[in-house]
Amino acid sequence: MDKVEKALARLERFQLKKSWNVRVTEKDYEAVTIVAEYIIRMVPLRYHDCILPRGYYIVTADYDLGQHKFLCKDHSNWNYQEFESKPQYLNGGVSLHYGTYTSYPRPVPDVVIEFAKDLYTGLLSEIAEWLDERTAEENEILEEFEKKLKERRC
Amino acid sequence: MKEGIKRELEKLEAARKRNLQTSTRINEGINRVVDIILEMVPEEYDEHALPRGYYIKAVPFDLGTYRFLCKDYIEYFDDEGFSYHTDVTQYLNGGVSLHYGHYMDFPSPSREARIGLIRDVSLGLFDEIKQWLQKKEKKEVQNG
Repeated sequence: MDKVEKALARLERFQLKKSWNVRVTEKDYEAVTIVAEYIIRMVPLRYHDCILPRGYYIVTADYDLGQHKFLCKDHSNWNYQEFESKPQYLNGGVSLHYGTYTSYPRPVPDVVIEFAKDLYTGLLSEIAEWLDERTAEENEILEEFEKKLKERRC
Repeated sequence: MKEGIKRELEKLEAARKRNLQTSTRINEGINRVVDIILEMVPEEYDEHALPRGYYIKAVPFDLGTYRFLCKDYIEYFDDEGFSYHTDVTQYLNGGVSLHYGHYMDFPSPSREARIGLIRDVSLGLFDEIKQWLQKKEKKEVQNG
């Protein structure tokens, strides 16, 4: 938690900045990775194929040693007169071997800034609420289910 | 660091804890249901289609035979602009690796499959299986 708090504190300075007057340093990328991995840890495994609030999602990549999880967001960019939407791996910057090497690049600076802004405008709170909604849905189904199991025992 | 974001971190941790309790309830529930169904359905009906698309798959391994309660789910995926779908078997008591010459993985079921089983039990899956078994037995008696 302490590490996450420090990483969040580092990202605080991006809140009011525009992409053209900021330089994303190595330490900023480290901070983004720490927070992204914290979010992945907080989202239970069974929701890893769901879309999280504000368009974030988790990608699972298989590799020789198991699976690696990335927190992603799509980023649109002009490319030869058309919009191109590419996933940005917030905790990227790695190359994984699974038959061949697949690289998962670091996010572009714009996405780092957007992520920092999202964090300071209630993203964590929204994820918590989203999680609570899923919990409530499941609890509702579980109540009926547990009643049936009890009936069966009686 | 702002106090607000600290509070948000605590809120997220609390939500995670609450969800963990639900997750434990789901896992315990699934284990109990799978045990009940595997006990209910005799081995001779393995590989038969049970109500609501469930079936039991018997897999031989070094120490005997492992019985899995399964259901097939359709999974959609995109490949170079084309959309495909395929049937994926969900092993409701999966999450094991069995050795029989080589290791075979039987992955844990997806969220959809787990919630699906819980919902099916709430809607009377046990009764449906019971009726299905009675029908099968009747037919067998008729056929001698």
